[in-house]
Amino acid sequence: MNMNNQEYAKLRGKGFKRGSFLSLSGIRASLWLGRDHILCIYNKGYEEDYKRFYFRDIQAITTHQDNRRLVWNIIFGVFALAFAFWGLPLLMVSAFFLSLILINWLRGPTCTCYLHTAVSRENLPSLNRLKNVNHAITRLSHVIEQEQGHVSPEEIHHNLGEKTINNTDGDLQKTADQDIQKMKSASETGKRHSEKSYNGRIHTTLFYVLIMSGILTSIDFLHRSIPLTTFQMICSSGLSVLLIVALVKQQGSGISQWTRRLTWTTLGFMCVFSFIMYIIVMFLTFQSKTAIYTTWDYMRMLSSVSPYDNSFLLVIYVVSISYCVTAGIAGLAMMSGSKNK
Amino acid sequence: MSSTLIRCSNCNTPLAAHFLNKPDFTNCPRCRAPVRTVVYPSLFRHPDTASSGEKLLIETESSCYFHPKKKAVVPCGLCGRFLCSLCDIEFNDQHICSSCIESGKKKRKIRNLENNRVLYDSIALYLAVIPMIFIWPTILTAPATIYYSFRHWKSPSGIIPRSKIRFIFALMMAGLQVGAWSLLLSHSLL
Repeated sequence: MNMNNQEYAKLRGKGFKRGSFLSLSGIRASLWLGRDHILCIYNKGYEEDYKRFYFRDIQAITTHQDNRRLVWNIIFGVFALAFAFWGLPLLMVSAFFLSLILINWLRGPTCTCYLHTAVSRENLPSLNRLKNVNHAITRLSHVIEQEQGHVSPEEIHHNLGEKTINNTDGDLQKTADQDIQKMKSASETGKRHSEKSYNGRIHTTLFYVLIMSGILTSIDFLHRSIPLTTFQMICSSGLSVLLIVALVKQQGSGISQWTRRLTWTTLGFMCVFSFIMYIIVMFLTFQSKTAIYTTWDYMRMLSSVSPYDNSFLLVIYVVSISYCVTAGIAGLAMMSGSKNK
Repeated sequence: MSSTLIRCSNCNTPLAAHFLNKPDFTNCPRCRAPVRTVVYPSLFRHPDTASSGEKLLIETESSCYFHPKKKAVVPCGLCGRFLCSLCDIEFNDQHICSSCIESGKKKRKIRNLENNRVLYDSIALYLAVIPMIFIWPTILTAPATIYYSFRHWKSPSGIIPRSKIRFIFALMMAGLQVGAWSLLLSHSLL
């Protein structure tokens, strides 16, 4: 057993293989260094899958920093704040989420790492923290260079078609600008290719539903009824689903930067709005004089509350209507503008 | 001159040479994400052209087992069959034929070809622990766990060796469950 243990040395880091947008695949990934290859182990709990990458076949390792740490800290922070307002017993839960924020922060910045071979680009989920990536690259480069040799900057420049390497600073900038021009034209070509794969239909539908949600909220503002409240809730649920699908679809597509930002802003708005409405509904539920046993009682209670009775609720309604209509119209304008291009 | 391009892993923009093999992160020119790329010589290496095997010119020379009209250059390290340069597969510092590769993978004789293993110890542990949530199924799963643990005690586990702690814990839990059910049933019968 000891000889087998020495066959593989574990590289630092653990992660989950991304099986879906919400990373709910639950497949744990780890990386091991063998004598002549890297072993990726994907543990599903009841079985393991293995992928081997031989040192002679590894062409490159690319890493880019992302903002997952910040996103998770925001989510934990929202939960910590939410539980902090509910009294002493739930303060412990709030403290738990605060400790998660601290641990997440101490683990360092998050990143995504890919391993390139001649035929594939493999994501390495276990290398999801910058510290682990730097450590892994140091160890891997040592063994890969023992197998393949070292590549000098001159060789890189020569093989990637740089015009010259012995330039002054000005000429280097000129060469870099030419590279950026080439990259822009290559990225424009890439945009045209990826626009073919996604036509923006989900985003268009999303913005139409957003406008419809704004109109429904305006009607609800003037006239309260149970069917309208029910239809509004269905519309909100549909909006949430469309939003998530749109966020997935826009990854790597040719959708314009402003449309992407608007979609992300809409997600942020929906999260904040849902959280505030949750607080308001809880408050109304506790304050309600009639007992609430069924969903029907709940719907009746919601539809009986008028925004005119409460100034805070009035502000929420106005902000919601304004955002939904404005964002919907802006989104549709951007989508039609990018289609015309 | 190679046309191989390394791309930003965030936005897929091709990266120029001065972005490569830097010790620190540099911002991608398009998406501005901090990117670090390390490249190795195999990126610029052209793949070797495969040999289709030499024709057999002299009848007294050995021929390939799979291609009788081609000259044998090396025997298979596992089965001993003669192989031409087309059939020769270099793997694990050995020359192996395609049949041995296939049978080695199926019968799990060649370790480096295994790409999947069942974790019997983890399954035994789940079988012992998860039914406890519902309590009643343990009357069936406890004996099943004991049988499963003994049945697969010596079965190979993951490629990275693991201790038997999961089997031991599963047996302990199953034993306690069997004991508890025995007491309960004997008490109710009496």
